[in-house]
Amino acid sequence: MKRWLMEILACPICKYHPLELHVFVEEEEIEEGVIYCPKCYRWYPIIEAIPHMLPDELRDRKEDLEFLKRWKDKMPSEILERGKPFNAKDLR
Amino acid sequence: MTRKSLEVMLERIEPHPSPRVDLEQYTIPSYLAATILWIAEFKHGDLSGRTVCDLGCGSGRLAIGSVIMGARRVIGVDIDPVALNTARSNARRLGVEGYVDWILADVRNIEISADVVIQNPPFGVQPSLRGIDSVFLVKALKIARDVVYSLHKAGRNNRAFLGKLIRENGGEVTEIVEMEFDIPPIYEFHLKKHYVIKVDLYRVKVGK
Repeated sequence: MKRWLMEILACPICKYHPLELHVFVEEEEIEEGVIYCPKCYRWYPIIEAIPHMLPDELRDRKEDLEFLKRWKDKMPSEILERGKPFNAKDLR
Repeated sequence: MTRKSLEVMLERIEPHPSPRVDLEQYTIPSYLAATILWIAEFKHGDLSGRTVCDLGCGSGRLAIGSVIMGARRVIGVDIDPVALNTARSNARRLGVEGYVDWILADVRNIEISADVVIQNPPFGVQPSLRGIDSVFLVKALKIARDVVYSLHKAGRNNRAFLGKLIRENGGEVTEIVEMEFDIPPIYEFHLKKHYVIKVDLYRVKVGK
């Protein structure tokens, strides 16, 4: 994923723009990271350079929790505390 | 570049390794993709320098083809991660990965903007997908600031139906090009060697 995508991408759930971008691994493009909606608190993982902008009902809970666990140290505390649809409480 | 050389280039794009019947995944034949891209760029100048979005991009033929035609940025959207991984490696193979982004999303709620949408949506023949072509079309009209290219099943009734839908959503059909979609037998229920489906390419101007 390239950074310019943030210019044209809004939250699929609440339509808010602009979204926040947090980058974990960047090579030629962003390989791993998270896109966060500060309005509805939803976060969307970027996995293997592809942002997953899915609605709650299509999300893969297991994959999402693994992602949260994997990037726990780099994940913004706001996402861990009140991120939707899953957050650190679901890891316990 | 000639239309034929574009077709040869698009031929290098690998199709989806395991097309899903529930998503009506057909790889668009390269001659058809080449013709659509050719019309869009050399007849109307709609691709070069523009931001282009491909909804239901599959393995990425129209998206990657748009980069080849000079689009500034391209975004391919699909709900199938396997299709997107194929598209991503196709973009790398053709050396256009710096211009294209892939997004895993449901067309019903993706929120994005672009100058142009170019798409070959599912025709909505499978019972579970009935009406999905309309969903794609309406969403394309929301996303595009300027022009939409969309491929649909031909037929008088469908033209009347889609024409009305486009008008109601603020678009104006400037051109309909009749084409033939040659579908090879990729699914088990395909008995014939090849299916040729008559399709219409719509060019829709969006008034925003």
